[in-house]
Amino acid sequence: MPRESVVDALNVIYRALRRGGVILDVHPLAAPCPLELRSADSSTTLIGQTEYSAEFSHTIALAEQSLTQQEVEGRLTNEQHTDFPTVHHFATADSWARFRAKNAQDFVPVSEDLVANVGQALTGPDTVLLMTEPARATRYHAKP
Amino acid sequence: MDQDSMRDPEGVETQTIHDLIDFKGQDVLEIGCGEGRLTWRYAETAKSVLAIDPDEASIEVAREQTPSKLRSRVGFMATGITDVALADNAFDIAVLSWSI
Repeated sequence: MPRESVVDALNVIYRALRRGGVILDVHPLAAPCPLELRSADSSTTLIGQTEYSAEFSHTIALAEQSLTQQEVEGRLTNEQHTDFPTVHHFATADSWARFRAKNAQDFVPVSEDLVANVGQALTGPDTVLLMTEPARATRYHAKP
Repeated sequence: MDQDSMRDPEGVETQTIHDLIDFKGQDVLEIGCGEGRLTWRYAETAKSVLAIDPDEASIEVAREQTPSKLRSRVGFMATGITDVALADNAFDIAVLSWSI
């Protein structure tokens, strides 16, 4: 969401919230997302990583700046935040391909070699691809 | 829904948001709900939920997946936050769901 859109959205939210209302923001962090293979015995092997596109990373940065600016202006108070991993589980190469296609704008394309390696590995019994997206959840007190 | 993929089956995200917010008895506005993935993680305890997303197809999926016991308390609308007419002072919590 562009910076001005974040501010516009927050203005609508401020009006809709009751006095003492809170805002929970959950968003990805602009960091690489590790790719691991988990075998039947639950052991994991790092096989690569995927990264957000420059455009999506820029969008995240602008939105974070907008929220920080709202704090500076006294409209929001950051009360608490938690960074946490969001893990995607892909049991088949096709399901990973569908995810990449659906989110193509947000990620840098992965190499053909990596796709081939993952595809080969996922033919094994009970092998799963794990993709970890670092994320942050923040509770804000709104002070419109 | 993709049967061969799951997001956060460990429930880390669910635990995180519940550690930060007590949804019990609260009126919640969720922005960017998509197919309701995050909505289902707190809706049971909320008093009411209005979840919006501009993607009509996603909203249709969310509506179809709404459990019957929640239909009276959880509503979905295909709209953007700056396009919807919301009553003033109507919600206790606003959730920005991976939507900034």
